[in-house]
Amino acid sequence: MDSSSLMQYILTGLAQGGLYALIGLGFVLIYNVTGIINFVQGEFVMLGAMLAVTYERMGLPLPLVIVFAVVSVALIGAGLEVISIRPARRATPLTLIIITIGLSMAVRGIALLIWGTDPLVIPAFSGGGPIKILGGALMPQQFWILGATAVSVLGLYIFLDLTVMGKAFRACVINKMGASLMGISPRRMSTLAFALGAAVGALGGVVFAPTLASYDMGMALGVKGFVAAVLGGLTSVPGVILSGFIVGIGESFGTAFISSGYKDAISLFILLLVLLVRPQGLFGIYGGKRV
Amino acid sequence: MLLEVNNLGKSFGGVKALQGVSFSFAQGQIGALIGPNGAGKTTLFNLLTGVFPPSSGEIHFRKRLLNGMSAVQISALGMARTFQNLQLFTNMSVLENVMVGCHGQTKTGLLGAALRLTSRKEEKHIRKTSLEMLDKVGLMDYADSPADTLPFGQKRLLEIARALAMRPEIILLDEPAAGLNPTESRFLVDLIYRIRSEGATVVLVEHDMETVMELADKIVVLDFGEKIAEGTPVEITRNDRVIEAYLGREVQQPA
Amino acid sequence: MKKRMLMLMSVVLVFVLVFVAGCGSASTTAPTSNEKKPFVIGAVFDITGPASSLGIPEKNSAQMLVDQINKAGGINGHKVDLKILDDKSTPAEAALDIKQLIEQDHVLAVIGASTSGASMSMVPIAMDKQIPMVSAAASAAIVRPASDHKWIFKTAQPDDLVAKVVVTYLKAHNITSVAFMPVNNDFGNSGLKEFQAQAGAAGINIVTVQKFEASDTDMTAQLTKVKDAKPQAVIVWSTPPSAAYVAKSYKQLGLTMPQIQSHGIGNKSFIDVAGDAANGVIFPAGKLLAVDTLSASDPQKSVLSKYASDYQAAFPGQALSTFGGHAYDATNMVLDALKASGDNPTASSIRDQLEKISNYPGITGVFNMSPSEHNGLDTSSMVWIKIANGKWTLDQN
Repeated sequence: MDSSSLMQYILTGLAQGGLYALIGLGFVLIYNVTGIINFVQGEFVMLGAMLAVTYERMGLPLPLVIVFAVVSVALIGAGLEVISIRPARRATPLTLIIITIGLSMAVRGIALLIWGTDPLVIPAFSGGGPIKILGGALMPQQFWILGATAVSVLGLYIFLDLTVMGKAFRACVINKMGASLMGISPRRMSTLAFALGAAVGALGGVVFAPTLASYDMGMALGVKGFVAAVLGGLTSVPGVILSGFIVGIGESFGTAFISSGYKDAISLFILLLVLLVRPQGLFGIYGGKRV
Repeated sequence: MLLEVNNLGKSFGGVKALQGVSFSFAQGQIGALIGPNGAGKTTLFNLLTGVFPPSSGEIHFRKRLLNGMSAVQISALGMARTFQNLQLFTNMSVLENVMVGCHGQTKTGLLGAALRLTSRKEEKHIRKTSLEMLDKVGLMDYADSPADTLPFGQKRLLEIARALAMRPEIILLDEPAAGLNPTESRFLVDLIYRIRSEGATVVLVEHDMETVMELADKIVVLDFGEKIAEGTPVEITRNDRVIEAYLGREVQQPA
Repeated sequence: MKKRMLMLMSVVLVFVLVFVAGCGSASTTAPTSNEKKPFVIGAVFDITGPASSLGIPEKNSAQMLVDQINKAGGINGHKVDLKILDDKSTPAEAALDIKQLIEQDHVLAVIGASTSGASMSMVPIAMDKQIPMVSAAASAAIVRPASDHKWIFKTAQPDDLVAKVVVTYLKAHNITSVAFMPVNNDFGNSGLKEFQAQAGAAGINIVTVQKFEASDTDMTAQLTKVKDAKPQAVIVWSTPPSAAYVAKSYKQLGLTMPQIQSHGIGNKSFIDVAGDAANGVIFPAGKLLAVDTLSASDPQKSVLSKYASDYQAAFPGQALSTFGGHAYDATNMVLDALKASGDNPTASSIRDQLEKISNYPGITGVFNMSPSEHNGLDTSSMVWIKIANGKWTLDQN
């Protein structure tokens, strides 16, 4: 194996990992506020990709396609929270998780009715051939994926650290009781968390749409995002981003040196191993700061 | 009356923590709740602020029935509190803690916030107000320090600043003087007077009798979940039941 | 209590929605009030799941044909009732589906499934119940040896035939070292086996085998290994969308050796997903894809033209695919066998008629069945297609 091949495995892993990080980010946002592992997360990605296809076919320019798809899915996410999670919020987390599993099946079923089963794609955001980096090659669209990850992290930083609403959101994560006595409604923050998680997932779906938009893509991508989120400790933003890249690169090397068939098994195996050795995840604080 | 409590009761799984308690505080008063440990003072605070609902009785605040309202709704009516065991937002800076208290004053709705964040003007205004609150409690110099790193006494002051940021009609202080040194206690007393002079009503739970007697216009005494006396500091010190049940027991306890 | 109710309600709602979604995808022909009893036949296709790009044109084609027959008065006065089930692209569902068709619907014959894996899981059940089954899938193992597969027929070109076409092409172009990239399922693995069996004798060296999963979307890792092995050409044995991602990653890595794909990419989905990365790909396929450029003397010309125009009239906006053709042939064969069986067709009369098919021009090729051959196609059924400017063109080289 020469160095250019090695570089290719790393680049492929990074590009894929960026997407996993983005999806994992959605899990972290929602878990932090609600304590729920949201299994609809993968479907948010799917909806983002599917709506991107729909808006693109309506002839909208690319920036509007991106914004509309992300906003639509954010509203869907908030709406789902209001109709299904909120009425049941006194239920145990396990019940809530089961509700999200049911929701994900419903969303997939509806998507099947709306868009059918054919895999769809939209044109790549920017044309041109592969871009060479130290002997490896990436398609311009993969830079868009990495860019979307960076923009999401930056956007979240601005929101969470620099706005009052963001601070209220964090306050709710740190101390729910204290926050509610400050007039911060945990219910609204839970809705906000779903909207944000859905938006981040949808953005992942939109930038992935030139590769694939299919009603059944959500599950597989959701599992990868979940692995990244748990590996990162479920509560940490830097943790999930780093873990996303670790999963992506692990997969890329696993495909090259073991077999593509074990790709999913490899990421789950890494997850099991980490959970056995460090139950709090690679970057988690044990017990979490979640209240 | 700003705050009226009628026949209030609370039981936890059959254990009566509070029973048949009635009292009221008027606008601009400094009220105090006193009583031995386990008398039900903090439980009463929790009922007032909607942490959990009462089992019986009624609470009226600004002529509105609070029973059935959530903590969020009650806080929106203008009730703020601090905690005996501090409930600061660790991981956030001192200033950020206070800014969260201002959260209720933002006009941007959830949707607006999610889509285009809060407006810059509003943001600036909140920052300014929060700094004023910090100045008021003397924590200006620590604005950017993590809330965790403050010494205990200053954490208490920060909680008060955060509660004041909500611009409350009434502020409930749960043992604000506990763990403070004499200088800090002095500052606290002055601060409470200042709060009152700016129009807010103050209700405190306090163990330190000296502070209570100096500050309070009206005192309610609880023992074993029941009200045993109500009145001015002078009346309370002369009340036989108080002396017997409260002060008397304290004498029996080795210091 | 109210909250609990609401929660239960949402869960119920979820299940209702899932149920509706599951039902929405399968369809059946309503029974008619005809005096004569309808003939019931069954079909199992991959209507949802990864192989849906195969299953949907197949379902459409079979349904179209049955509708045409019923409109014209049915077979000997009997309407045909086609019961179509969706196996969701999984072998386990396919096995359940054929059981249901035979045991509950009492079908006379079964068409399907779309993929080799699903078909293979149906074979033992059809054999056991002695019901003729005509698969639309590729793998030769579905019907071979014919002596052990008395009740099983199939219409798609078998892998060994396609492998032979590919090996012939490689020899003609003096290509002696290739990389082989099969999708890791029955279709890809069977293609690998057949190709390996024939390549050695033809002096073709397989320098590396790189598998991928049907759900993979990025093949740069596998293709980097291929690149390191320096073959003269790469052979990809898969179906869309994964086949299209190989083409995309191929372009990303800037590989320039010929990319030969299999007959598995004979639908528009490949070009849709691969975009301009599809250009330059060559693959062997049935003549349907080149119907416009076929000479008038070709024995399949008229049946191909009829199918192409009927399909596009019935399903406007949907592209033709060779897979639809496989199901069309299978349905046609079963209907013709019913016609030849008179007023009281039985499973075994249909089977016997199927075995007698000879010189039968279909969409996939000219069929010649016999007791020892239940696929009945030869290399003349295939042509080479090259993708240029996002279109299929007949490759004369």
